[in-house]
Amino acid sequence: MSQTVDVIRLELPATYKYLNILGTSISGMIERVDDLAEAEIVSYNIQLGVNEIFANIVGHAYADDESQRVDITISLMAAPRRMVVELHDTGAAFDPDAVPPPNLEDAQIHGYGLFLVEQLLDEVEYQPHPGGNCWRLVKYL
Amino acid sequence: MDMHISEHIIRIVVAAPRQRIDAFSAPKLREQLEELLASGVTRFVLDLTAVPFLDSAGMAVLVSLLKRARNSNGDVRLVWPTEEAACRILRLTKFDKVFTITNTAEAALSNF
Repeated sequence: MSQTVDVIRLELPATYKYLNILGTSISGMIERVDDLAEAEIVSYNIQLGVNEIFANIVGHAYADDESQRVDITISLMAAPRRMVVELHDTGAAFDPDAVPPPNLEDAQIHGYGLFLVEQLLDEVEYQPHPGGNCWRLVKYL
Repeated sequence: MDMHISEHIIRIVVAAPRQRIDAFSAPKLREQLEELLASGVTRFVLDLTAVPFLDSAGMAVLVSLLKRARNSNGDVRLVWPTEEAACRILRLTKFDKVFTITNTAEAALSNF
């Protein structure tokens, strides 16, 4: 892979309907990465982590208001090689401390989303800012 | 021979979704499974063989069905997805400890 940073920008409506487009964009970029071990697993894990954050934005930050938008930037960066996905919204702030980790000994209906994000990605940053929120997810490749 | 004969037929439904199960499609899956529950089905095999992607919304549908089925003395068995990454997620979340997961629907049916 060249040292050039490849960037794809999406601006999706705040609806679950187009989660598939988000996944396809990530897998499409991962397919172009040379010599990546377990590429399908890596791709799936990034897709799932980003999917969970996007769904969190739709359901919580925007409370299912489909007129809202989510800005997404997917970057392939070098040295060290990594995929960085940033999601920006203008909705309500998120309180990570309000989400307890799931009890894995007893299956539960809710609570796996953020757990999966933290398990599957190498860096997870959340920053509320005036007028919105930014999530930054990093996976080293 | 003086004997009483009774026949017991156990009803088991095998449901095999064939698309990604995410926050968009999960409500439709939940609705279809709830219709089956309402019709009296309590034993389910959810065959995930052809499911390419499963997120936490989909997992919520599985757990919800499991709890409701077990509350009615039934159960839910899963069939492993073909997608290895999806299998790893089921292990990561310890779903393989909560559900009986088999390699085929036939195997799931045979030990119900």
